[in-house]
Formats: sequence, structure tokens, C-alpha cells
Amino acid sequence: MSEIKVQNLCKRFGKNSALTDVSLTLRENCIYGLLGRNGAGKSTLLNILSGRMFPTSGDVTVDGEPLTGNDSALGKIFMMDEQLVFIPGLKVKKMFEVTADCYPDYDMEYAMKLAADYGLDCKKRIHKLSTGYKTIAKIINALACGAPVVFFDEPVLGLDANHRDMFYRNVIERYTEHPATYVISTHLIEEASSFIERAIVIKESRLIMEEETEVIRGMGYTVSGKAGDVDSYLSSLDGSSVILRTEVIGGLKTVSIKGQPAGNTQGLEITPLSLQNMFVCLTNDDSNSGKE
Amino acid sequence: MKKRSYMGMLRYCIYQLSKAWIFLPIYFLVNQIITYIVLRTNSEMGLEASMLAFVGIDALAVFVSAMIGLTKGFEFYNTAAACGISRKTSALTQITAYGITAFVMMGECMLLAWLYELINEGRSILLIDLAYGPVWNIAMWGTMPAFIFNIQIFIVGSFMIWAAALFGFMFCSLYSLFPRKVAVYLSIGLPVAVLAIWGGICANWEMHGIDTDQKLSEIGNAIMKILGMRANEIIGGNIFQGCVVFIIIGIIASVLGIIFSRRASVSAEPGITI
Repeated sequence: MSEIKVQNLCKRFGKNSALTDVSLTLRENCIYGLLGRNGAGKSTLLNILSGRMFPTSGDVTVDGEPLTGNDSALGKIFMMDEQLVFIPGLKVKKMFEVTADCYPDYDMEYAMKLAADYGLDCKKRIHKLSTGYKTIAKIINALACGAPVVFFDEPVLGLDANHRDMFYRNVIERYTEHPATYVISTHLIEEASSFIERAIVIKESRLIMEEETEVIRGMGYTVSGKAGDVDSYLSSLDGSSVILRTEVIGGLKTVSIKGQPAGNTQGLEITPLSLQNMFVCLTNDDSNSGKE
Repeated sequence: MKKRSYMGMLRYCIYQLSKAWIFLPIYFLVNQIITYIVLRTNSEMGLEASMLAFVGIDALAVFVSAMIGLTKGFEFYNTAAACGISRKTSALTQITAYGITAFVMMGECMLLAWLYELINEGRSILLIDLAYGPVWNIAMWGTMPAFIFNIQIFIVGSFMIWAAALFGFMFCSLYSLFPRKVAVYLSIGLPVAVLAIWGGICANWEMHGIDTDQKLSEIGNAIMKILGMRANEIIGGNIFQGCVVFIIIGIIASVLGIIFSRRASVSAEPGITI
């Protein structure tokens, strides 16, 4: 079992608040998407959950044990950083070996197989790799580490479309064969939405949602059509529906609505909200907070 | 889950520190070249130039040592953090690695010292006088017992690693207690302060007509007495006894380091770090 509980977590950097009163539970064997705009506090949260940073207040426990300074709890977590934390002069193979020394369930065979699949030269020093291959080396290390909880902070940074696709497939394959908790912080929501089971949404240092992606998708819909038709549809809605976003292009109007379709939808196109749309609606500064 | 072992991290630290071994032979070679020049220069100017050269290379050695200690300290902490190892365990592992590396390097120092003696037919005593001054003080600060030996390479070689270990150790301990920036400033500031005080003490002795060399020898003898050794025999240049002294000092330093580091880590409050 590897369940991480976060209670009332706050992190301040001087006068700035990076995280405010965040409470959540990361369940065992689940793929999470950590979503938030730039500077929302995603990396800070992951850094705290992996013991790299200490919270200003609040608690983090792993299977009931406090995380801070606890080797046993820290050993259950691996974090793939956006930055390179290993010595840049280290050879890729050596980086795998060092990690394997500290994570007893490390699968070196799998790491070497992935390296071959991606075309990564393990004899090269990390700093001599291109940006994309640096990321690939870190991805492979994270996928092979064998830790029950793995955090990926911007794992597809610098990867081309092919390598991104490979990464997503590798995550699913690895998760199927060796279930673990994966938390993936990414801005490419649409790409990752196919395998994210639950989404954690952070806005301006606060956790605003932690829910199954299917539930999030079912929370709203998009209605589009002629502006007049859409307006008359909107006027027929009751108070439980919340307009999240309105876009007008020419005579066409598209409205994202939180709630379920109701009333006469004839002549209108109703589509479910994508995770990305829902995220944009939830985190946009200019999003409407009530019925138009 | 299988059980975790920290031997891997220890191996990694030792592997990284082992790169410091290269500095000793380099120092030895440069030293040898200067020795060659000195032994063939009888003019006062030549001697002074050689002295400056010694001071320069020793200062460089100190700088390199400090850099090894500080940068490796950072790197080890980062790597350990990446591998899910707490700061406390990381500090303990580092201290152990520094200790082990220091012992290995002592062997290297002794071999080089023996070579030095062999090549220079016992004339190395001359060099110690040339490399006097601030470097001498730094050397003593880096590795206190070193000044009882009349073999310069032995001193510099050993103080290099001990200075590195000391910087690394200090950084480990300070980083466990303070934010990183403060730890870095203190790691550099404290030795400078110690050197300044030490320089002040030496200057005070000189002003009062006290022979600094004599005084330092007395301190060295006192330390040796505390360790139960006969200082005179060691001053005679007995390498094997020197080895014993170094190992004992090394063990004491390492044990103290581990105790101090453990205390520092335990008392570290989350929230004040980073």
C-alpha cells in the first residue's frame, strides 16, 4: 500500500504563497494528472510530496508515516524533475545504476530496453545529450525505478510528437504490468487525457478540484450554434447551470456550460466538454462565474 | 518492496570523490619541477620566486579542495534527494565517504612522500621553509597534525583532502541547519574567520617576540602527547608512525563529523531549509 495524504498544506516563499491550504489523498495505483496554469504551484506541490521542499505548514504522510526526514517513506516515492538533479557529467548508464542502488525494485533490463527503443545512447554523459534526450533519460529512469509512487514534472518537455506518443504508451504499458501511482504534471492536457484517471486542478496556489476525469468531463457540455438560438437556449436554463465560457465568432456562438443539457436543443450542437476545455474554463481568470 | 541499502549511495560518493586523487600526482609533479629549479638556483631572487610559486600552487590546492568540498556537497545532496534519501542519511553517507576517501588518499600521500624523499635524497626539508607563510597556516588549519611532518608533499596532499572533507562536512552540517545560501556563506565565511583569528594569533606571537615555529611545534607535540605518541620520533620522519597518526586523526575527525552531523540533522527544523 502506498497512499499519500496531504493535510492543510501551505508553502510560502517570503510574501508569496505558493500553496494555500491544500488537502488531498493520492490513492494507490492510480494515474493522476496534475493540472494548473504556469505558477499555480504544481511543481512546489510535487517537490514537497517528494521531500525536496519542506512545507511552511501542514502535513504529508505516506501510509500513515510522516514524510519529512523519513527514508522509508521517501523510498516509496520517485520524482522525475523538470530540471536535472543528477551530476551533469554522469553517464546515462551510471545515472540508472545510482538510482537502482537506491531503489531496490529498479528494473535495469526494462531501462535498457526503453533506452534502445528511444535510441538513447547510455554511454553518453547527460550534459552532452540534447534537451529531448535529457528528458528521455529522466523518463526512462522514472519508469524503471519500481517505486510505488512516481511523480513526473513536465515529462514531455522538449520531446517531439513521436517521442511523446511513445512516452504515453510506455506509461500505460508500465502501469498495466506494474501498477503504481503516477502523478503527471503537464500542460499538454489533451494528449494526456486519454490515460489520466483522476485530475488534480490547482489554481493560484489553491486546490480547486480533485476528481475522476470522466466525472469532470460529465460536469459540463458545450453548446454551439447561431447566436440567437444559443441565446434563447441559455434563457431557458434554470439556475443550476453555470456558464463557464462564451465565444462569439461571426454569427456563431459557443458556450461552455457547467451542468447538464436541458430544454430544447434543436438546431444546436451539444458536445461534452473535453478535459482541456473544462480546465481552461476552471482556471481562466476571465471565466464567468455565473449565468450570463 | 525489497529492502533499501545505502551502500550504493556511499559507493557513488566515494566514486565521485575519488576524482580528487588526480590532484595529488599533479601537485607532486609541479612541486618536483619547482624543487628542481630551487635546487639549481642559489640566488636570493630565485629562492623568492620559488617561494612565491609554492605559495601560488598551495593556494590553488586550497581553492581546489574547497571547491571539491562545496560542489560535491551540493551534488551529493541533489543526487541523494533524487534517489529519495533524506538529508540526514545523505549527510552521514557523505561524511563516511569523505573519511574513507581521506584514508585512501593518505596512502597515496605516503607513496608520493616516499617518492619525494627518494628523488630528492632527503632535501625536501628545504622546501618546507620555502612554502612558509599563510599557506602553512592554512595547511595546519586544514589538517592540524600535518605540521609535525617535515615532508611538504605529505602536508599539502593530506590537507587538500582534509580541507575538502572539512568544507564538505561543514556544508553538510550547516545545510542541515540553515537555508542553502546561509550554509554556503557560512562554509566560506567560517574558515576565513578562523584563518583571520589564527593569523591574528600568529601576528600577536611575533609582535611579542615569540617564535611562531617554536610555538606551533609545541602545540604539535602537545597534540601528540594527548594521542600518546612520541612526537620526536615522528618529527624524525617515520612514515609508518605518521601513517598511524593520520589514521587515528582521521578516525577521530570522522567520528566527530558523524556525531556532529547527526546532531545537526536531528535538530534541523523543517521549514527553515531550502
